[in-house]
Amino acid sequence: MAINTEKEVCNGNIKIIREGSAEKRVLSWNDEQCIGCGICKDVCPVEAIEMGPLGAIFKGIIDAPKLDIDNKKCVLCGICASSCPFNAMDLEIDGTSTKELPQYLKIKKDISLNQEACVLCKQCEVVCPRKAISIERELPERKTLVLGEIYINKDICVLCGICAEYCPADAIELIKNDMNPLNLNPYKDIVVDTDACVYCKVCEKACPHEAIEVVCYKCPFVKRIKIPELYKEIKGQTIIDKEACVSCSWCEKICPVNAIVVKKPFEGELIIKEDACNGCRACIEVCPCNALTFPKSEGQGKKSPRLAVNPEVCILCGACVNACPADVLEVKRTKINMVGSKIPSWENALNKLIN
Amino acid sequence: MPDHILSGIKAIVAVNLRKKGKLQKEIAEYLNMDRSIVSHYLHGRHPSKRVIRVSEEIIKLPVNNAIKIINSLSDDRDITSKIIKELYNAKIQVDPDRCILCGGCLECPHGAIYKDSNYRINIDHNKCKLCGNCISTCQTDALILKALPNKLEE
Repeated sequence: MAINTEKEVCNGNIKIIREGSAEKRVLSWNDEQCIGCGICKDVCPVEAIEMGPLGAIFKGIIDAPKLDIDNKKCVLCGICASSCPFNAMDLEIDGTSTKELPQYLKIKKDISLNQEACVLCKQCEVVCPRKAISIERELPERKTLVLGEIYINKDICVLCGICAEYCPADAIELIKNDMNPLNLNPYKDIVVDTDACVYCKVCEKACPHEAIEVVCYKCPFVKRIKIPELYKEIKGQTIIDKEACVSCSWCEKICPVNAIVVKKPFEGELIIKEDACNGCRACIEVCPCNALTFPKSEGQGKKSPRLAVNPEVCILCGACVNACPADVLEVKRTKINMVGSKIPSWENALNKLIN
Repeated sequence: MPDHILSGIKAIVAVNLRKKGKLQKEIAEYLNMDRSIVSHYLHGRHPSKRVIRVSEEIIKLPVNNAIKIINSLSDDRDITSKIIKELYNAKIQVDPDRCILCGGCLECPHGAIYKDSNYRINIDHNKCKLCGNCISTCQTDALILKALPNKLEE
């Protein structure tokens, strides 16, 4: 007997549940993770998925879920979950995600990091469009790199504060006095914070009374610090959130030491038919990789392309195609990177993504 | 009326078994019925010729359709499956090119469908009653009744 398939909607997220005597299946979809690429809709063998008005949703014109799943049609096969490049869908069979099961086929995308090679430069953290990379680094204290001595002759010093005004490291401070009729001086002392002082000698040169003497032992401006030594002292780690990563490979492209390797889910190209573009920006808002842009014109009179894509960071997910109201974009996929066990019917479904 | 047709089909099965050399007693046991009725079947005394004719037409239908009618004649799945197995060399099979592993068919009322360790769908033909429930459940037409030529026509 066919069993009932229930649907639960909670905070905009959808759960499709089917519990029978043989097994319990739960298909869950997360609106926040979903970027509306529509791959799930394209691979669904029973046409149970319908996309929402993506352009309007991403431009904030309307608040609606990016897709809907019809529980009357859904058979909980999980092809959608295995093909979602953004981890927005998951199928659990008796509590185990099919993504964890080698018996299932999935679209492969991956990011791997060679922590040994990573120099913790943080550039990838800055460029990642999904905020999927965070770098925690501990630097040696500055005073271990900059050594020296500073001496202020308080017999000569008039507490004018000129040195403090010049100090690029804000290391010199005048200590205020409690002013009263019995104590007329505004300042009572001058102190140097040797943790902040870089022994640059600016104060020495600035002091009109020659009250300051500075000696630099390991001044970076005089004698270069050996970088390898410093590098050895830098500790830290790069943390990649693989759930959030969309494998756009932006980090890979800019990594100065090639410490990141990214495997994209598809091969192919994104075709832009510029003439049709009306500049609505829906595609730019939708793109999970920030791969699309309206280039700035190069000088006056020159016609710049209306819309451009950087194929290096495009993952060919097709979200822009769904969002575009004017049929400007077309995804031509030539290859899908798959991993897992061979399932002929699943391969047929996934091959629908190749056009 | 359904009982008449069921009798007609049983009579045809009984005659088939007799031709294969089965004894009246064995036929009665197989069809789980009284020996005297089997005797009527074998001697053409019951059911009427008209009923036999209708029954023969049903049996000649494409096997997918025929089993639907035969299954509808009785709720006793033991007897219907015996009749179907005797009339047709039929088995329900999984077409791996179509099966999407959705597991909808696992709710087989006879416990004949199971997942193997690879999560692939398999059918235990000893338990299968050929009731066709899974065929109508499957959304991708991956379960098919595979029949060798109709035994009657051999």
